[in-house]
Amino acid sequence: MSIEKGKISSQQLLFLIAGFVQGSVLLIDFTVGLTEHQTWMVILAALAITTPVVLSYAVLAKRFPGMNLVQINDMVYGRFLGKVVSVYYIFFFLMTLSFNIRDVGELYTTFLMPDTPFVFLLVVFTATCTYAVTKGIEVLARISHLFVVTGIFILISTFIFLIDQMDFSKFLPFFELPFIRIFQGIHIVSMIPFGETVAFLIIMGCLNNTEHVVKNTFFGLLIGAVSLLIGAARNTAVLGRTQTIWTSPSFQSIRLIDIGTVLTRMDFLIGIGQTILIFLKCSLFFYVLVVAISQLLGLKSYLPLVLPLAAIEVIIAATVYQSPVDHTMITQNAGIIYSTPLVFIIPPLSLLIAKIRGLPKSERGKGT
Amino acid sequence: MIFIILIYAFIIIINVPGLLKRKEWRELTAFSILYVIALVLGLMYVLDIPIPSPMKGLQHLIVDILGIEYPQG
Amino acid sequence: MFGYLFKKIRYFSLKNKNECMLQNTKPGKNNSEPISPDLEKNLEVIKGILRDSSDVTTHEFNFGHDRKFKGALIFIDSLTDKAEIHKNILQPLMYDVLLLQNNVDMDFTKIDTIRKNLISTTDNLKVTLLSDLLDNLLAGAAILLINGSKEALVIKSEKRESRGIEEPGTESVVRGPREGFVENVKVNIALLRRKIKDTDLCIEKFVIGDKSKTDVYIVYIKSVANPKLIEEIRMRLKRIKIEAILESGYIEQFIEDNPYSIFPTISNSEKPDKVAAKILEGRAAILVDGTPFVLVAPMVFIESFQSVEDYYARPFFASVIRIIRFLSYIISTLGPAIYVALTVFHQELIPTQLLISIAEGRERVPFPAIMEAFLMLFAFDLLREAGVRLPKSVGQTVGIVGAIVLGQASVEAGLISPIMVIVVSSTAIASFAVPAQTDSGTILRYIYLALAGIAGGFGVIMGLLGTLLHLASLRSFGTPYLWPVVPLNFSGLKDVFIRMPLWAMSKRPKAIVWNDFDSNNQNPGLMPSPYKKDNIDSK
Repeated sequence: MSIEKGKISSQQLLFLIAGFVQGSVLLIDFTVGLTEHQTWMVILAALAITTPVVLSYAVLAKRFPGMNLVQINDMVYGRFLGKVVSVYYIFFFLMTLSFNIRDVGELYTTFLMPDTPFVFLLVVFTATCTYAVTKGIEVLARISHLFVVTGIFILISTFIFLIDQMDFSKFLPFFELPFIRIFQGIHIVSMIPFGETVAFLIIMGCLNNTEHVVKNTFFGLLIGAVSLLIGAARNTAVLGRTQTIWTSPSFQSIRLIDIGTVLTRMDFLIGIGQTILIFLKCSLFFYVLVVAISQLLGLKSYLPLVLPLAAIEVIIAATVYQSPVDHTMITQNAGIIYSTPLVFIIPPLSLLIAKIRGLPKSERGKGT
Repeated sequence: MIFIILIYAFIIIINVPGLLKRKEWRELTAFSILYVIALVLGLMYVLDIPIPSPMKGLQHLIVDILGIEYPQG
Repeated sequence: MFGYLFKKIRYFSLKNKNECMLQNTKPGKNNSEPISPDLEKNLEVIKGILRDSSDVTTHEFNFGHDRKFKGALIFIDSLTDKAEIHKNILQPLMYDVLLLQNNVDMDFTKIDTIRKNLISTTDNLKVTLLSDLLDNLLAGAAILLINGSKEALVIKSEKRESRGIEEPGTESVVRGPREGFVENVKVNIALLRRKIKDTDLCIEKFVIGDKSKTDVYIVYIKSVANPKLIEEIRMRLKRIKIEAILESGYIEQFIEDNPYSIFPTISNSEKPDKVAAKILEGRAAILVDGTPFVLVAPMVFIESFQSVEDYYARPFFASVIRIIRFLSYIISTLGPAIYVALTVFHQELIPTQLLISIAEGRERVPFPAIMEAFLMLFAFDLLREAGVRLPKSVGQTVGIVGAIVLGQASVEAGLISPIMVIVVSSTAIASFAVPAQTDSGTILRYIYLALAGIAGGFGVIMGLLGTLLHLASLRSFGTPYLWPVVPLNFSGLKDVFIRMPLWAMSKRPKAIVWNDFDSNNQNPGLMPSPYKKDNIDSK
């Protein structure tokens, strides 16, 4: 019994995941304070660590076709414990969504449109996300490939425009920074872009065919990771050690593009690209949140919950942190620690338990 | 202030008549609970009452009580 | 006060329920009595029902040998072809019957006898119910009543004044046929039949509208179109309950998928070659009597950017023109919004030189940029609307007045900056390049302008995202509206942004036809090339 009546295809899942991961391109900028010019290594390591975990999500989805996360939790952990786990997930989705919305607001108030009131940006953005969610996952899945193509296009074109200003010796020396910082960086990167794909455990319940889930998830993750890598490499190659001075190295490197005095000051364009990608990410998160809550409460449709949740999200996003610095500091510590079990421990555990208990037992008549 | 009232009224106008007509009581209760929470939070925000931030609580819990923290380097 | 509100709400809900019940039980005009054998009584009844209108002509006559039989002819004067009535009905009945031998005993009270032996027209119909008789009478037929017979003969002898076939006013082409549809639906069907001489071309008739009883035809090719599509169209047409269908636009608004959307999901056209091309792709055309605009369902967004001329011209030029059309649509909807966003919020994006000239132009203007843009857009829409209804004699003068007064003089008086005039006039001109989307373009223009004024570039981006979501969620009779871009389909993309050569586009659009058969292949691999020398006998 699922709430969502729409179905998405595996290929659309690939693009959804890729776009989702690409949405965190500017989040990499926040780890630069920690990992400086070794960010690219951190991304690769995080990719290596998270790939098996993310693939375990796909295998879990394949094992329980058509069922989303809340239903899987109920089956694997029993009625009471399953609901507790689901509530933990819902809290995670709630908080992360507000962080992402806040990111957009910070993006604009810091760089692009500093005079605009913060809440107003949040409201407009959330309103569009709400509209996307009321249309359902099918519409988002249909247009996902446009977002991914736009993201890749922006990244590659900025990379190419900056080639003359790049100096690949800025990547050296490797392994300079103390390992604890690298470890924290790996933790952050594996949690924020890659780990947030745990949200897809709900979306995978809408697939019409779970045959190629694992392959598509892997490729989606790969495309997203490569995009992040291109961004990080570009910043390091152009700015080198000076990255840590800037609030956002990505913006700074874009500002250095100067093609024939016509294509200058293009930071707004990357702002647009980033907004579009975060929009996809936020809409997906919002959708996942609403479906998870409705599934938990046993509702027939998730539509009535959308607007109140949107209002709650906006207010949380506006008040949860005092400033962007607060945001960065807390995320780098508590933010990733409390969500680590959700991403790394619980889904593989669910898979293990499901394998041991031989779930799902639907053939033998034991239903949900 | 006036925006808050308009927006919240708007939310009710869109959702409630449909729910009532189709007699979906469960959805209506869920909606009302969330709506009340949203209303309270919204009013607190507009009236400049400080809203407790969950992340601060978590930070306190994890860093001070459990002691897990990355060294600030 | 709450009691008052409560009572009001209850009143409205009860009224709704009452209206629904009433509509279900409203009696229609029930004239389905049979025709009586008594001629006089029939005539009186019919005249009474038609309220003694003065153009209903009744002609009683006697015919047959010895003038034994009494008959009457009823027709509506202005609708029928009197010469034909005289020649083909009255003359055989009254005179030619005398050529038959006297001893031949034919019972002329039977309509069948008369019909098969005497009346020399081809389009006859036998009716027994009064309602059928009246329907046909009002459609322009002549009714023959015989004393003593319970049946009547309907002879369709209408004469209809119709406009000649001329170039359609709204869609002119440089190259291509200049025929356009006319108001007479039979002529329109003939025009279509001349383009598609296929046995599979199906034409289905419906009569819609209680008072207007308009003829509506669905035309499609049975072997190509999706049967579910046709079934859906049929169901929706049958569902229409309205008093009169005056134009195909009424039908469009009743059967479209998304009545609340600003984008049209059913296209219309005045040109037979365009409609024929669409029918061949698997769509269905809906022809309505009384209007030259033919509806074609389903429609995808890309169609508004395609024009028939693209296919008659050669591919490279056609591709360039199509790209220009896309760009003009973008300019026409986003032009003023981008201008306002740039000048008000994001001055850093404008090259410095241009920034200085814009600032100079805006120095004396008393309004903020958004108000200026709104005023200019409003003035332009006013001009356009007034221009459509201008009497031809005044047209020239008003055009000049519009250009000089609104444009030049306002700039010189310092009301509007010159750059704004340029922006708005390019917007205006660009909006005519994509005729099918002018209505949605106009609304979008205002929306984006408002968003740009409120939130600058961010607002425009959100507006674009919202529009994209809306477009992606629209479906037109099952086909996604943004096909083939949004559910990505590579063979469909050959005709979207550029126009690939005709010999390379071999498949019918998959989302219209919905099958995977190879019969979709129309002409595999026919790139033209010169004859090889070996094929021709060497000199």
